[in-house]
Amino acid sequence: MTEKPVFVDLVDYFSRIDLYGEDSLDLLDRLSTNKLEDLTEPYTGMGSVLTTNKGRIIDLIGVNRLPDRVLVTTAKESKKKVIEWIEFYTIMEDVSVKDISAETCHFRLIGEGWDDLFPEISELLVRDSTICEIEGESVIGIREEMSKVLCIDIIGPFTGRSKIGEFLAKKFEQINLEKFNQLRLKLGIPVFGFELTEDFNPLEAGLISHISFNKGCYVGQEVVARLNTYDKVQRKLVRLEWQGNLEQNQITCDGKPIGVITSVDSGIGLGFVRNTYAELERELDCGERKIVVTEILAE
Amino acid sequence: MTTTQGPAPLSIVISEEAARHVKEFAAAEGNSEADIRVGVKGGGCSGLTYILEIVNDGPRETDKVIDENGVRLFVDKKSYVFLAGTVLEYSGGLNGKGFVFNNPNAKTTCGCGTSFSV
Repeated sequence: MTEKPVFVDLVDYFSRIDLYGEDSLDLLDRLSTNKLEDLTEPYTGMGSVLTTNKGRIIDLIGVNRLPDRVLVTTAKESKKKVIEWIEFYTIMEDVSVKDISAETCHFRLIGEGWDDLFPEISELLVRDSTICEIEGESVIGIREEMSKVLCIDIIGPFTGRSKIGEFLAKKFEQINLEKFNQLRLKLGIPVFGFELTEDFNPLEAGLISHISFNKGCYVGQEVVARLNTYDKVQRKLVRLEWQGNLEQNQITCDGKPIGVITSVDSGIGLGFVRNTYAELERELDCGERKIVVTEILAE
Repeated sequence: MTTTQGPAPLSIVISEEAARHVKEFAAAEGNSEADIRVGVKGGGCSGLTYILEIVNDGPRETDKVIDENGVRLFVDKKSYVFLAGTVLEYSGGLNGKGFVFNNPNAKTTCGCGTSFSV
């Protein structure tokens, strides 16, 4: 948790994609886990998970309905796959995809203390957005959260990146991506390429809040619904802590392999362990080291 | 000299039973012509979902038109890639599913049968 608010430049961490056409939201709804058809009003948003037809994670995307388009945020590394996935499934639909990553900047403010500066954002529901102005630049402000820590994402024109960054630096401490990664591990946030991969499903990865179980079909829905209904989820995402350095990522208990560590930084990490071992304070092994489960991140 | 006949080009076939039901549904909707549009859209459990609707506005410029058993079937070219070789049948009776796409391109289908993957 941050004691005072900080901000981070995420221009190269996330990708930003605009979808134009009247079928954009409907198509995304048919391809991902959340009930995007509920985004009936401009400036509403939610997170949703693109899954394969085997119910495995492609990426967690942020979806924001804007008056003239749908703004999608993804990890930088998953952008190509996400765009190809959307384009592959665009058959009869009126949907066109525009990658705006290079034309836009993206900052995140993390922690309390910005309410006075952005009162219009502080009143929004998580994932909803509004248009505001910073140093004469029109930006999209999205109310976000990391675990329970409130955040604001600011997406503006790339040409305004320096100006917006300088403005934020006057008010808040800036952290780099390394510190941001440490923070997300502390808060137990899974990310693309580590916890969000086709090796795992959204229920294992603690993304149940981004899944609607009463919407219509989407790619992977049968598998995800079955896993949930019949309680067939085998592993859970957990936060782990240890002393010293780890030399491998296999987690064992009494010599038996029971999980894998997916992210590591300075004695804190995230990993997936079999349900039986996903208990607070449970001591497990990783090579010669003892590791302890400090938070269960999937229900 | 001998010539061998190659396989017939893939098309979409409408069974007689399916055609009869299309005509009944079209008539019930007050259409003089039994025209249907079939297609594929992204989504559904397995990735792609069938579309089947009775239409009364004729084919679009880029549609492929198949005329069989007294029914005109319109399909857009992109959907046709996924549907070539399909037989549209009708499964009636108490346990029937209604119109059924028997699609040789479908590798997997979902439980309800309306979605498939290639």
